Amino acid sequence: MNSFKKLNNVSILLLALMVSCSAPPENGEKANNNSAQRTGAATSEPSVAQSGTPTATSNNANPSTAQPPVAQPAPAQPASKPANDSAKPDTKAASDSAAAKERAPRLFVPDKKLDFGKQPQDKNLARTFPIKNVGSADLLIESVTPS
Amino acid sequence: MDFPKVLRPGQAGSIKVKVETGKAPGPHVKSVTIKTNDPNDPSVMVQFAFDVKEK
Repeated sequence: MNSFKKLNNVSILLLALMVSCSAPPENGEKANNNSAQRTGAATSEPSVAQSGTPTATSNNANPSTAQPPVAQPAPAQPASKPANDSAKPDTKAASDSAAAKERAPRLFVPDKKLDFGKQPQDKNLARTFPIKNVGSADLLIESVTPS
Repeated sequence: MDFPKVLRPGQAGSIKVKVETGKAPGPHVKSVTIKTNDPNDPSVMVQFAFDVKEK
Protein backbone atom coordinates (compact mmCIF):
# COMPACT_ATOMS: atom_id res chain seq x y z
CA MET A 1 0.00 0.00 0.00
CA ASN A 2 2.80 2.32 0.88
CA SER A 3 4.60 1.61 -2.37
CA PHE A 4 1.38 2.08 -4.20
CA LYS A 5 0.94 5.46 -2.53
CA LYS A 6 4.51 6.41 -3.42
CA LEU A 7 3.92 5.48 -7.00
CA ASN A 8 0.78 7.52 -7.01
CA ASN A 9 2.68 10.49 -5.61
CA VAL A 10 5.39 10.14 -8.22
CA SER A 11 2.84 9.86 -10.98
CA ILE A 12 1.05 12.88 -9.72
CA LEU A 13 4.28 14.84 -9.72
CA LEU A 14 5.04 13.74 -13.22
CA LEU A 15 1.64 14.74 -14.39
CA ALA A 16 2.03 18.14 -12.81
CA LEU A 17 5.31 18.64 -14.58
CA MET A 18 3.83 17.67 -17.87
CA VAL A 19 0.95 20.01 -17.39
CA SER A 20 3.23 22.89 -16.55
CA CYS A 21 5.32 22.34 -19.66
CA SER A 22 2.38 22.11 -21.99
CA ALA A 23 0.58 25.21 -20.58
CA PRO A 24 0.30 28.29 -22.83
CA PRO A 25 2.91 31.05 -22.16
CA GLU A 26 2.10 33.88 -19.77
CA ASN A 27 2.42 37.76 -20.42
CA GLY A 28 5.99 37.91 -19.33
CA GLU A 29 6.91 35.33 -21.76
CA LYS A 30 5.03 37.18 -24.46
CA ALA A 31 7.14 40.33 -23.89
CA ASN A 32 10.24 38.27 -23.99
CA ASN A 33 9.14 36.79 -27.28
CA ASN A 34 8.36 40.26 -28.67
CA SER A 35 11.70 41.53 -27.57
CA ALA A 36 13.25 38.56 -29.22
CA GLN A 37 11.38 39.41 -32.37
CA ARG A 38 12.52 42.99 -32.15
CA THR A 39 16.03 41.93 -31.63
CA GLY A 40 15.55 39.59 -34.45
CA ALA A 41 14.37 42.49 -36.60
CA ALA A 42 17.19 44.51 -35.32
CA THR A 43 19.53 41.77 -36.09
CA SER A 44 18.54 42.29 -39.66
CA GLU A 45 20.55 45.40 -39.04
CA PRO A 46 22.86 43.68 -36.62
CA SER A 47 25.72 46.08 -36.46
CA VAL A 48 23.44 49.02 -36.01
CA ALA A 49 21.22 47.66 -33.20
CA GLN A 50 23.92 46.21 -31.07
CA SER A 51 26.20 49.19 -31.03
CA GLY A 52 23.44 51.53 -29.88
CA THR A 53 24.86 54.92 -30.67
CA PRO A 54 25.42 54.16 -34.26
CA THR A 55 21.69 53.72 -34.60
CA ALA A 56 21.27 57.33 -33.71
CA THR A 57 23.95 58.44 -36.07
CA SER A 58 22.75 56.14 -38.75
CA ASN A 59 19.23 57.30 -38.23
CA ASN A 60 20.43 60.82 -38.34
CA ALA A 61 22.61 60.07 -41.27
CA ASN A 62 19.89 58.40 -43.15
CA PRO A 63 17.53 61.32 -42.91
CA SER A 64 20.32 63.60 -43.83
CA THR A 65 21.15 61.57 -46.80
CA ALA A 66 17.50 61.01 -47.46
CA GLN A 67 16.82 64.73 -47.34
CA PRO A 68 16.34 66.25 -50.68
CA PRO A 69 19.00 68.64 -51.73
CA VAL A 70 18.45 72.17 -50.68
CA ALA A 71 17.09 74.18 -53.47
CA GLN A 72 19.60 76.75 -54.44
CA PRO A 73 18.61 80.05 -55.81
CA ALA A 74 18.39 80.02 -59.48
CA PRO A 75 21.26 81.72 -61.14
CA ALA A 76 20.66 85.13 -62.40
CA GLN A 77 21.94 84.32 -65.83
CA PRO A 78 18.59 84.37 -67.56
CA ALA A 79 17.79 87.70 -66.07
CA SER A 80 21.15 89.02 -66.94
CA LYS A 81 21.11 87.73 -70.44
CA PRO A 82 18.48 90.09 -71.75
CA ALA A 83 20.12 92.89 -69.90
CA ASN A 84 23.37 92.03 -71.52
CA ASP A 85 21.70 91.76 -74.85
CA SER A 86 20.04 95.10 -74.45
CA ALA A 87 23.13 96.66 -73.00
CA LYS A 88 25.43 95.49 -75.74
CA PRO A 89 24.82 98.38 -78.07
CA ASP A 90 24.98 100.82 -75.17
CA THR A 91 28.25 99.42 -74.04
CA LYS A 92 29.55 99.56 -77.57
CA ALA A 93 28.42 103.13 -77.95
CA ALA A 94 29.86 104.01 -74.59
CA SER A 95 33.10 102.36 -75.47
CA ASP A 96 33.13 104.12 -78.80
CA SER A 97 32.47 107.47 -77.18
CA ALA A 98 35.07 106.78 -74.56
CA ALA A 99 37.53 105.88 -77.24
CA ALA A 100 36.63 109.02 -79.13
CA LYS A 101 37.14 111.10 -76.04
CA GLU A 102 40.41 109.44 -75.38
CA ARG A 103 41.63 110.28 -78.91
CA ALA A 104 40.67 113.93 -78.86
CA PRO A 105 42.71 117.10 -78.98
CA ARG A 106 42.76 119.41 -76.06
CA LEU A 107 43.90 123.00 -76.00
CA PHE A 108 45.82 124.16 -72.98
CA VAL A 109 46.45 127.87 -72.38
CA PRO A 110 48.54 128.47 -69.26
CA ASP A 111 47.63 132.11 -68.89
CA LYS A 112 44.19 133.14 -70.03
CA LYS A 113 44.57 136.65 -68.59
CA LEU A 114 47.62 138.72 -69.48
CA ASP A 115 48.43 142.04 -67.87
CA PHE A 116 50.27 144.55 -70.04
CA GLY A 117 50.59 147.01 -67.19
CA LYS A 118 50.69 150.74 -67.70
CA GLN A 119 50.83 151.77 -71.33
CA PRO A 120 50.81 155.07 -73.12
CA GLN A 121 47.95 156.20 -75.32
CA ASP A 122 47.75 155.26 -78.97
CA LYS A 123 50.28 152.53 -78.76
CA ASN A 124 50.22 149.22 -80.59
CA LEU A 125 51.15 146.37 -78.36
CA ALA A 126 52.23 142.96 -79.59
CA ARG A 127 52.31 140.03 -77.33
CA THR A 128 52.64 136.27 -77.75
CA PHE A 129 51.15 133.78 -75.36
CA PRO A 130 51.92 130.07 -75.31
CA ILE A 131 49.49 127.26 -76.08
CA LYS A 132 49.81 123.50 -76.11
CA ASN A 133 47.92 120.48 -77.36
CA VAL A 134 47.61 118.14 -74.36
CA GLY A 135 45.21 115.81 -76.12
CA SER A 136 45.82 112.66 -78.07
CA ALA A 137 44.77 113.95 -81.48
CA ASP A 138 45.78 116.79 -83.75
CA LEU A 139 44.52 120.16 -82.57
CA LEU A 140 43.21 122.33 -85.36
CA ILE A 141 43.17 126.08 -84.63
CA GLU A 142 40.41 127.40 -86.79
CA SER A 143 40.53 131.09 -85.92
CA VAL A 144 41.73 133.69 -83.42
CA THR A 145 39.43 136.71 -83.44
CA PRO A 146 39.02 139.70 -81.15
CA SER A 147 35.89 139.59 -79.08
CA MET B 1 47.40 137.56 -85.54
CA ASP B 2 49.86 134.79 -86.08
CA PHE B 3 49.05 131.33 -84.91
CA PRO B 4 49.78 127.75 -85.96
CA LYS B 5 47.08 125.91 -87.81
CA VAL B 6 47.76 122.44 -86.44
CA LEU B 7 49.33 121.23 -83.24
CA ARG B 8 50.28 117.56 -82.91
CA PRO B 9 49.57 115.79 -79.63
CA GLY B 10 51.95 117.16 -77.09
CA GLN B 11 53.13 119.90 -79.36
CA ALA B 12 53.41 123.45 -78.02
CA GLY B 13 52.92 126.66 -79.93
CA SER B 14 52.25 130.32 -79.45
CA ILE B 15 49.80 132.91 -80.65
CA LYS B 16 50.87 136.44 -81.37
CA VAL B 17 48.32 139.22 -80.85
CA LYS B 18 48.42 142.94 -81.43
CA VAL B 19 46.53 145.31 -79.15
CA GLU B 20 45.96 149.02 -79.59
CA THR B 21 45.75 150.98 -76.37
CA GLY B 22 43.66 153.80 -77.80
CA LYS B 23 43.28 157.27 -76.41
CA ALA B 24 41.01 156.66 -73.49
CA PRO B 25 43.04 156.67 -70.30
CA GLY B 26 42.42 154.18 -67.56
CA PRO B 27 42.20 150.42 -67.29
CA HIS B 28 41.08 148.40 -70.26
CA VAL B 29 40.52 144.77 -71.01
CA LYS B 30 40.62 143.33 -74.47
CA SER B 31 40.07 139.68 -75.38
CA VAL B 32 40.45 137.28 -78.22
CA THR B 33 38.59 134.04 -78.90
CA ILE B 34 40.44 130.96 -80.03
CA LYS B 35 38.31 128.43 -81.88
CA THR B 36 39.63 124.88 -82.18
CA ASN B 37 38.40 121.34 -82.66
CA ASP B 38 38.75 120.61 -78.94
CA PRO B 39 35.52 118.79 -78.08
CA ASN B 40 35.70 119.76 -74.45
CA ASP B 41 36.27 123.45 -75.02
CA PRO B 42 35.94 124.47 -78.64
CA SER B 43 36.07 128.22 -77.85
CA VAL B 44 38.65 129.65 -75.48
CA MET B 45 38.84 133.32 -74.50
CA VAL B 46 42.09 135.03 -73.59
CA GLN B 47 42.01 138.50 -71.98
CA PHE B 48 44.58 141.33 -72.11
CA ALA B 49 44.49 143.98 -69.43
CA PHE B 50 46.36 147.28 -69.59
CA ASP B 51 46.17 150.70 -68.03
CA VAL B 52 46.44 153.61 -70.40
CA LYS B 53 48.26 156.61 -69.04
CA GLU B 54 47.55 160.10 -70.09
CA LYS B 55 50.32 161.83 -71.92
